[in-house]
Amino acid sequence: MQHMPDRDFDNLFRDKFTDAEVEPSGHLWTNIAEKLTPVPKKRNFPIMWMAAASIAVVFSVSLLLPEADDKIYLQANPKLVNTKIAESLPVAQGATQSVTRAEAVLKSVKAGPQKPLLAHQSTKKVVAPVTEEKNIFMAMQPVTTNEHLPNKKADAKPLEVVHPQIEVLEDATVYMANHVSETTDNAYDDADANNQKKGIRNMGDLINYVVDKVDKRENKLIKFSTDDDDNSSVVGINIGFLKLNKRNK
Amino acid sequence: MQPLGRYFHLTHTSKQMKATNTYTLIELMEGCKAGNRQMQEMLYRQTASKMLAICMRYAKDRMEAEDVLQVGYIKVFEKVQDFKGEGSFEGWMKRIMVNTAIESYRKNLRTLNVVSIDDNYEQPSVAPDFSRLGMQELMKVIQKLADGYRMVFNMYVIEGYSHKEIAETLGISEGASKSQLSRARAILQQEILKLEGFGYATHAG
Repeated sequence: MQHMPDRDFDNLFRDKFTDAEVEPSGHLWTNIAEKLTPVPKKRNFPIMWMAAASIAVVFSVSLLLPEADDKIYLQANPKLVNTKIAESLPVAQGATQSVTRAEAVLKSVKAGPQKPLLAHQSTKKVVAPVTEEKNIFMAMQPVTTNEHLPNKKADAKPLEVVHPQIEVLEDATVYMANHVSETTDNAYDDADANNQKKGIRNMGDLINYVVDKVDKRENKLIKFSTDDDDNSSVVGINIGFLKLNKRNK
Repeated sequence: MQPLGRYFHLTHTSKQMKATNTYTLIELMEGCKAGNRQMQEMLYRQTASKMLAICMRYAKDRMEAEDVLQVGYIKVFEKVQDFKGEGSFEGWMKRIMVNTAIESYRKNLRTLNVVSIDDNYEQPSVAPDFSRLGMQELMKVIQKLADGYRMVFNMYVIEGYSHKEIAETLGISEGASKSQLSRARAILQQEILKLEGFGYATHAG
């Protein structure tokens, strides 16, 4: 016999090994299975937590910006503001930007000769016309606190909610909160405003705040009431056919 | 009574078989994509013996072969998501095993310059008789080859890689691939002949 040609040798080898089988030891699958366990699970979890966390962050941030308070109350009390400005010293520096806007605002303001700085006003959505009632309020309001507000708000724009300057707005809230409680609110006389006077203190208030924004009905989807101890309880639920509300509304 | 007994036996076995062998490879593959543990195990049970045979060819011993097998299956279950159905799934799995085996070889690389003791590889004048040889014996013979020769022989002869592809994969020249293939063949033939009882008397001179 001759030496076998390479091609034949290769073919014979290949035939023997095609679909060859060798029985694996029993423990091999266990080893594989152990290393497999973490893989399918870990995938989605981080993403969900990240999403939840980012929603929570957005929520908290939006709560820290009480410009909503500004909006609500200043509709009722711009007169307060206007009279103060009339009384206060002009705060002109650095307010060129707001002066042009202030001019627009000026037109709707009737009282007083000079309205030095309505930048302060320019952060508010609505400027109610000044009435002669201003005199009533003048005596009650200290002027000093007004001074720093216009300065800080010099670059605020009208008709826009101020976002970045949180520390300023907090001052405004405090200021507003203090003075609002002394007046009777014409516009907002229901429990919601009362709750919001005190700010959002707990989950019930938070939910109320959100639901208020979304649900404009008398009887909202769900309604909490917070007592003086900062405890919330549900006082109304309106989902589909289920309508349970507090009677003395 | 006896016919009844047989009937029971048959139904029992068919139930068992139904458990593991009913699923086609495609179904098992889809199950693995979904991360179903039972499907993964069934795929393993159905294919592991073939895959281990591949690993045994490439590895220098059973232990290394089993390591390669385990790593290979883990890769299969991880990468199954990317399998788009082009070509056969079994072929896809085999390629993963081969690549894992090559990785294992490269990791434990003894230089390709190591040659086996039987380096006088003159072509034997007697052709080996394959009809009397079983796959197991050939497996033993192939594992006697030096690592580098074994890799080249497997890739070229069984998997069908070209010398160019072998050269790129193993990081050697095409010329080295060709010469190592020749040496591998010669050594294998010698070893087979030894198995078959032919001594060194077959060598010329």
